[in-house]
Amino acid sequence: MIGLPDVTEFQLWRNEASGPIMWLRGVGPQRLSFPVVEPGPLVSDYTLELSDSDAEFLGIKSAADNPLVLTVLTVKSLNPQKVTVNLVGPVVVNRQTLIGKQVVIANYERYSVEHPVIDETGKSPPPPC
Amino acid sequence: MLTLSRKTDEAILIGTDIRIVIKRIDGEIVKIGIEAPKHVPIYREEVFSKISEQNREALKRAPSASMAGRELELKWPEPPPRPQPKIEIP
Repeated sequence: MIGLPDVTEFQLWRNEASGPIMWLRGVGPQRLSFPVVEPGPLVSDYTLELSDSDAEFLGIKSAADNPLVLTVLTVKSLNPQKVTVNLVGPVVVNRQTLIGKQVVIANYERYSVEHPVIDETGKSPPPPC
Repeated sequence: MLTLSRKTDEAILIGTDIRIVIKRIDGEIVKIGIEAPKHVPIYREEVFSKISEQNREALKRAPSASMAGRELELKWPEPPPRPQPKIEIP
C-alpha cells in the first residue's frame, strides 16, 4: 500500500452484514485495516491502465487475466454522501498468484482520489470525465 | 538539498543503478527520463501524496465491521452493471 511500505502481507475479509464492503487487513502487529470495495458497480466507466512495470510485477499480461480490482473506501463522516473511493490508486491482485499492489494508474488524470460513491440525490454519480 | 545544473541529454546517477536523463526542456516543462531497477517504484510526488493521504484517512475513519453497510445505509446501485473494470496495458 502506498505510504506503508513495511506491511507487505494482507488478508481480504468479507462480512455478510457489511454488504459490498470488504477489509484488507495487514498481517502484523499494526493491525491496519483498509475498507475496500470492488469499483465495478460504483463507477459506470472505470478503465484503468496499468503501467508496464506494474503489469510485470503483478504478472498480468492482459485484461483476460482478470485481476481482482479493489478501491480503498474513505468514510469522512457517517453521512453516506461523504463516502469516497480512490480511483487513482486501486489495489490490483493477481488471482492466481495472490500477488497484489496498490498501483497508480497510468491514466490517473481521468479520475479522482476522492470519487463520491453516492451523490446528493442518492444515486451513484457519473464519472468525472 | 543537492542542486545540480544539467543540460539536455546530460544525466545524473543516483548510486550505480538509477540514472536520470534530461531529455528535453520546453519552457516550464522538463522531460525527464528515468532508468531504475524494476523494484524501485517511481511516482509523481503529488499523486503519491494524495494516495498516501487517502490511505491514512481511510485507516483513520475505517468503519467497523458491524457498522458498515447498515448504519451508513449505503445504497449500492444494483445489480452491478459490469462485473469488472476494463484494464488496459499500454
